[in-house]
Amino acid sequence: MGLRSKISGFKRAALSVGRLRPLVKVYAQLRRVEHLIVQAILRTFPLQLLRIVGITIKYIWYIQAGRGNDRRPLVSVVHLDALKRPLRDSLIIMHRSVVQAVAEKRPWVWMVFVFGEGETRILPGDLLSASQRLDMVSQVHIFWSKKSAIDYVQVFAHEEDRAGIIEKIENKDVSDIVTGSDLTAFSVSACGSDSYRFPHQLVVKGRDFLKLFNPGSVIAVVSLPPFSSEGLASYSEKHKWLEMIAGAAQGIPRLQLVVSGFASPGNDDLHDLARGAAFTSNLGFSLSEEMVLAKHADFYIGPMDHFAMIAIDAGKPCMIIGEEGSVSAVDGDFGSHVRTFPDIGLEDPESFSRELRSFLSDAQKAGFIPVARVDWIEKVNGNA
Amino acid sequence: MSLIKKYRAFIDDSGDRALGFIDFSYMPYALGDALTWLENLQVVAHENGFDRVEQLIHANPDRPSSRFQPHIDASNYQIFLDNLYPALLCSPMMEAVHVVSQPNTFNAMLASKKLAGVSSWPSFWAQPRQEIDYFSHKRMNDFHAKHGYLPMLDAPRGYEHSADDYIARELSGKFVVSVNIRQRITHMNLAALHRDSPIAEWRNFFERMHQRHPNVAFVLLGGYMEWERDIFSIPNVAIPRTHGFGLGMELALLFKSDLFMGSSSGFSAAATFSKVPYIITNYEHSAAAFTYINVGDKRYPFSSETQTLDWQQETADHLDDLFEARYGMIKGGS
Repeated sequence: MGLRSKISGFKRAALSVGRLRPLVKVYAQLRRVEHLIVQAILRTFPLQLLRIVGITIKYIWYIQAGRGNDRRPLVSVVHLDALKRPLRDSLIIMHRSVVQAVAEKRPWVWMVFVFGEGETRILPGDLLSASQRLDMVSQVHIFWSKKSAIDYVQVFAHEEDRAGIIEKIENKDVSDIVTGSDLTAFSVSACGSDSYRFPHQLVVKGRDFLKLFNPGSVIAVVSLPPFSSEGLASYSEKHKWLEMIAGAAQGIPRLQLVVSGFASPGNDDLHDLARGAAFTSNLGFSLSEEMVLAKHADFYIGPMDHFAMIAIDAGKPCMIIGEEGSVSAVDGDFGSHVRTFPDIGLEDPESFSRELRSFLSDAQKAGFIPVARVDWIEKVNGNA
Repeated sequence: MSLIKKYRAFIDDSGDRALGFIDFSYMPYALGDALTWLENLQVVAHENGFDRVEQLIHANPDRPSSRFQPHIDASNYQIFLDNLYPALLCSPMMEAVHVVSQPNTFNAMLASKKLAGVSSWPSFWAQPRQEIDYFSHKRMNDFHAKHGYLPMLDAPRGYEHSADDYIARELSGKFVVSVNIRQRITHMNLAALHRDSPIAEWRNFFERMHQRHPNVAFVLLGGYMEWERDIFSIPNVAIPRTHGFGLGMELALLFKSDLFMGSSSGFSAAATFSKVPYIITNYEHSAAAFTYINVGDKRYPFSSETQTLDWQQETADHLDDLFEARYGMIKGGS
């Protein structure tokens, strides 16, 4: 059969399909009518009744099975007003709860967050968002009163755990959760459970963003210390920190800074302070998206905050600066990829610059910098 | 333990608050619908004499979305959930929020509340039927007709102070107008594009206002992708998303603003159930049936004099007229 006859064969077939189009339309209409008839039957009283009976039996089954908690989840109580850094400390507590649950062979972790009477420096939306990042955390409960938290625990917590949980809710000194800054037994990945997980689309967006800078550049996620010696750091103090980090980074070839979690009212100043840096808060990144960047960038510089938690857990080299770096008694608790510099201050930019180069050099020697970056590290060392 | 004791212990004795529950396997992830759901919950609470509410949210990774949102699946439903959380905190009556991923636990919690006779929105039978009225104003209108008032939504819990700080720092002494220009065309899910508003007309309007009323500041609300770059350079327009803020802060700013202007969309639902004066533009004619008003009506039955609906597609001239009339009314009133 020649090509011409083949083409005319296709043409004929296409034409006959075209002629069938009205029939297809009729068929579609019939399907719609059929759907409506089925829906109408399903909505008749006997069937509705049957459905209701079915669901009632299901509910009875749930009750009989012991409220869905027969496998005894681990319930963690967090008093948010007792935490110095509620978001970071909540993440630490979730981390530790997961580690504990794995050790005790518990199937899930339920988080119970209690807002106190005083002001709490955490946005409930951020809390809900961050608490969904660990797969083992299957329930999150936020309470604005202790009574409603106790009501919940009395019915749904496992009988054997109930009294202990209620005591923790009533008395924050009893709770093991007030010591959020204790970072021992930290690594979720090390205990065999899944680590932080982010929705796939966010991961793609984050990784694309990092590539957009320059596929060959080395990218550091930077977070700025929130505290000064006199309490919460002001914008001008944060600007000084940023100026110092950006100044040190300038001498390092192909190093790009991504500044997370910080938006200042004078946005124009920021870009003068750290030329070429990206400010994710100005770019409309959500908290989860910023966390993805901390997980996928090459390394992290900043205080021991929630971004540091993600970076440490992902095994990224981390340079923990400021007084928050001192929260861990033993650096080794984090792993060899993390170094803390509690004494680095704004007074000595030269010293900071030296520490940064030395940190990068050590990270390369320890194998935390990918092979493809070796020439870059050599340049860093050459410039040092 | 005997079976009867077991049942008795199972009853959640929290009869002092109303329960609202959402199962996202049949409820859409949408700002306007979530706020309407929340308002319904407040109405149910008031009807039953409660001053507190509790929320039970079920997002099951095995059935993460309804058939209306097939683009939301197990790999991305958490993004939509994250984006919606602050809206669910807009009730001043909020006592507790439960987020549950396991259907067994969710159903058990519902059953427990049902056995305790707790008032709920929607009704407990909505769950087996997998049906909920998440958009109509029927219950609100009936409540208002009977009692002469409607319990209002407010800034999301925990965001009030941040919003006050932002206003003091960025918008001090200004007449603050929060604005939302629906731009669904910029979203992943291209739903009901006919409800989108012409952004160029709004830009012209902002520029005119900058010349005429330098003390008026417009706070642009909505997704980061929804605003055009040249709007950023208009001095009287502030965009909270460029300062690292999300939906929670935007809603808080809306509830604290002097006026809301914007398309009939999610943010307008927040204004609808608030005390904030508003002009909702480009109101969808077919939506009138669900809100129990007639096309062309100037306001909802429960709205005040300064809260109006406009049924035309926006032009700069029309926005100008609408704003001037309302600005004069509010300024004159104050």
